[in-house]
Amino acid sequence: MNILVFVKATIDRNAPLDPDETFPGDRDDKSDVMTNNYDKNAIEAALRIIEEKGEGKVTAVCLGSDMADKVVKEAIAMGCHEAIRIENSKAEVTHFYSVAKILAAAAKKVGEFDLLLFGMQSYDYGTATMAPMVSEFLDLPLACWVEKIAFNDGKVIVDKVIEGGIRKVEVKMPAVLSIASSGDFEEPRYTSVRRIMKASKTAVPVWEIADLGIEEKKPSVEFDDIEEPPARTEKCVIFDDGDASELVGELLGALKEKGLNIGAYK
Amino acid sequence: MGEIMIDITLTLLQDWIWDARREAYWPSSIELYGKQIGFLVYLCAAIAVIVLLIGLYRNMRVWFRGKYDQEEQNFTSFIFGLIKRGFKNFFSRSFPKRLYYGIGSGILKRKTMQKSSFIVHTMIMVGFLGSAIATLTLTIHEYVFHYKLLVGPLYLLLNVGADISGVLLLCGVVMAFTRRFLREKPYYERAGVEDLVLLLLLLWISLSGFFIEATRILYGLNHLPLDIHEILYTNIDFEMTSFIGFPLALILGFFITNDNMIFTIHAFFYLSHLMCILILAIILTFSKFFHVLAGVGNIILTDIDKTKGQVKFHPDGISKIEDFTFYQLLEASACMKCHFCHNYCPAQDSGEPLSPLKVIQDVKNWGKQQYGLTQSNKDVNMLGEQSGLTEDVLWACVTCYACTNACPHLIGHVDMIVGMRASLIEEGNVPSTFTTMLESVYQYGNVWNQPKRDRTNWLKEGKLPKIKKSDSKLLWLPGDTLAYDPRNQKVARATYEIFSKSELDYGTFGDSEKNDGNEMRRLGEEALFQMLAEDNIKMYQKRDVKRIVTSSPHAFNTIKNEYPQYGGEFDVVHITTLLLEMIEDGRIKFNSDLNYEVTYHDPCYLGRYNDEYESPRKIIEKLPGVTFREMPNHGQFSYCCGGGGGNMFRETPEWVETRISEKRVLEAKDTLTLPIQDDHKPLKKILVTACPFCTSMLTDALKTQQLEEEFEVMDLVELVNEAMGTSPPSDESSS
Repeated sequence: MNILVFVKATIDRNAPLDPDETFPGDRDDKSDVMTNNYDKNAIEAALRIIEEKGEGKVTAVCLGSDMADKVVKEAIAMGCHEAIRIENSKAEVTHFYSVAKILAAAAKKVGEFDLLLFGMQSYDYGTATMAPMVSEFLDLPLACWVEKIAFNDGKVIVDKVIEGGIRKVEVKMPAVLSIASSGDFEEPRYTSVRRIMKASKTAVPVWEIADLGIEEKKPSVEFDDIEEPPARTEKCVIFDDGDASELVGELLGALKEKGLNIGAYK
Repeated sequence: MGEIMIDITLTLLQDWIWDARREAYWPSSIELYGKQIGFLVYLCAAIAVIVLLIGLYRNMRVWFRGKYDQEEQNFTSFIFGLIKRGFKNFFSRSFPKRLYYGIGSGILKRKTMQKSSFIVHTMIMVGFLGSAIATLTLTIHEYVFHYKLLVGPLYLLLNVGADISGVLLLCGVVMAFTRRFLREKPYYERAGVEDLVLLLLLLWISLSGFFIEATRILYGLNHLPLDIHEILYTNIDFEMTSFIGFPLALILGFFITNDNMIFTIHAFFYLSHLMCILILAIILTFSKFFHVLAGVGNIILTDIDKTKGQVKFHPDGISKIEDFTFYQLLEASACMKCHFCHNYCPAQDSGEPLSPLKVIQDVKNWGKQQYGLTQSNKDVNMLGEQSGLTEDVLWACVTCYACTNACPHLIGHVDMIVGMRASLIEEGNVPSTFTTMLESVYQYGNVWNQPKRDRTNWLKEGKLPKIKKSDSKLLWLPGDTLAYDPRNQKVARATYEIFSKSELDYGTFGDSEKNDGNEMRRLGEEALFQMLAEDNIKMYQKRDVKRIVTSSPHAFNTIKNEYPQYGGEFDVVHITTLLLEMIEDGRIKFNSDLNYEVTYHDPCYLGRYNDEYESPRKIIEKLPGVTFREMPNHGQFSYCCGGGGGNMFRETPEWVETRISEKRVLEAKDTLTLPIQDDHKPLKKILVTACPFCTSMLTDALKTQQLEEEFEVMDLVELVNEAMGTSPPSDESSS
């Protein structure tokens, strides 16, 4: 069984934010980049499948600049057998649609696979569209937000989260799955620093976007400009110093002053 | 007249003393009952010796599966190494220490032992060894010296010594029986067949010994005058020195008249005595009695100078028997289930599945299971249900060191547990809260999953002095918890205020400070620890720090005991030591009367690991208006707060009813609410500690136990700051 897991280098949750940034994974400081934490659930799912089957290979695929090397190597440290980085230096490609095209092309180039796994969404943009788009481009069956995976010759039976419950779906392989951050794969395994050190010594092949044979060169969507919203003029007042009943009175008084209808209060 | 009397008495006494001889008239039972019995006895003895050797081989087979001193060392060179090590240890300066440990745990009362258990053990040990020596001397007397050794005073000495030993053994065994099976003792609930058999054997050995002696004397008494080695004795009064055997002989004399009866009774006791000893030899290596051999071996071979604050394990971790070192497997064999570790373990006390005793026994049993007499199952994973060493057991350890501290045989429980954790870490089998914490340390250098730039946010006003390059200064390391945990940020501010008020010249790293790594190592994340240690050492050396003061005892421990291995020798103190120094040389002056009643909780990493019990207590003593009360568990027997070894970040499992911290808080409550004799009424009652983890854990426990009305939890630093008053004295004088 060959599994491809797509991982994304996102901005670190503790890194300072920059509104001018177009591609969040593209930073100068490595410590500002982290593996999209939802992708770790996908890696965990892939590794568990392989461990259960006792054979097969997990390959991590990542689109990003050399900053994303850290992410790819973390995937290897976690237990992925191979990894591929698709060079996206200077953030050439930024829009989801183009990214999905590239990932689909990369999957095609890899050729032999039974499952394509995605995290349920990305930590930064959180659009959760990558799995559906890739499945569309490759014309493969899709199941999103998968909590549980079982196999039945040539088919994969998954539990997917829907509002208010779980839906059991049988999907023909090869298939595209996005893994939920709940259920069986809720807790991705810990990657020890020793493993990270070992993985950092492995060489990861880098593919160029140009070699993937994508027709559209230009990104389908471009950011024109990013504007800051107008500054607020209202000031925020916090009533927290004093007795609760008095404070409520003060608050209601202030609201009334602003012309708010507060009913029977005098 | 008087002088003559004394002379006569002395002469008589002298004759009596110098003529005393062991009666050799006694035909040995073996000879009496013919060659067949003799043959059988020797056969049994041979079988016993063979079984003993097989048992020894079985145990040793497991030991030699362990790691040798160096990797790829072959068996013979390791054996030579062992012998060399044994000799070296025996003749080195550590010998008195070893002797102290050996004798200290066996005969003298070690602090961890309960009084009655120490008396019982001393009696059995001295009694058993004394009897064994007496019997051996007799054998030498008969077979080597041909009845010429035990003559005169030497013989009398033997008589007295043998009987004293016998009495000690008998009384000790009887007391042990009552302790194990009659008195209600919760931790002896596990006393089972093994204890019963061993004690019955010892009981019979001591009893039958007396009867053998008595029947021999009785025969002599009945056949006076007696020819002993061609000297005619009209009386054998010197036998009175057998102060148990002689009266017993007289009593037996009432019931037994003819020689045949004496022979029969003697034979019965003699043979059963012998058989009991042979049975003891047979079960020696298979029971807890093996500690008499393995324990001695362990005390001779163990690395006695290993600092308590270091935890030693191979970074690969321990997941199978072959991953332990030779010495660890020897240690496991030396365990005699005395339950001291079990009784002192706070995790066990709070209802966790961890018992240090069981961990050691599990290791031992797993080794024997995998390596029997003939079969050997190599490289079988031992962590899990199959051996009883489950993840729940291993993660429950708070590394408080109470077990190793209590162990009479120097068994390193913590090292083994941490080693096994390391293999869980390597596999990625880690509770998710630990994962978050460890990843946070790797990524941000702190355990609280917070950005680096927020590290000094606790400081609301004022400016934290930064240490600059080659700025030979005192370095203050507040640590992660003081920097990010809201409760402990108060402690950080208090420390800052004390330092400002006393105009201390110091510096900090500000935002660039990093976690010290103590907890990482205790969780088994060795690589992360090494990374942190190397980074920190580089940073300290670059700034050429003169002295380091840490707010956390955990950081203090690792910098003091573990950084030197990575080339970082620093003069490091815990904040309490520094404060005491400052109080003593007058840099800190107290201005306000506190009128508090306090008790002190010893942090494990300050107390048990680094023997710093006095400084905090001295500071409390010097605080004006503070009444100090000691909790029942204090000093080296202090309870834990449950936050050590990374367990601060572990979710408490559902089977724990009262958490460790809650138990401690309840104990503090009992101490602090004791009735006070005089009418003095304190303003506040406070549980003082000196560790951020303790402060945090105990504050939480106070809330869950709804004791917030009763007393507070405070760090010692906060108390000192309060006692100093708000306005610094130096400022007043300058203005």
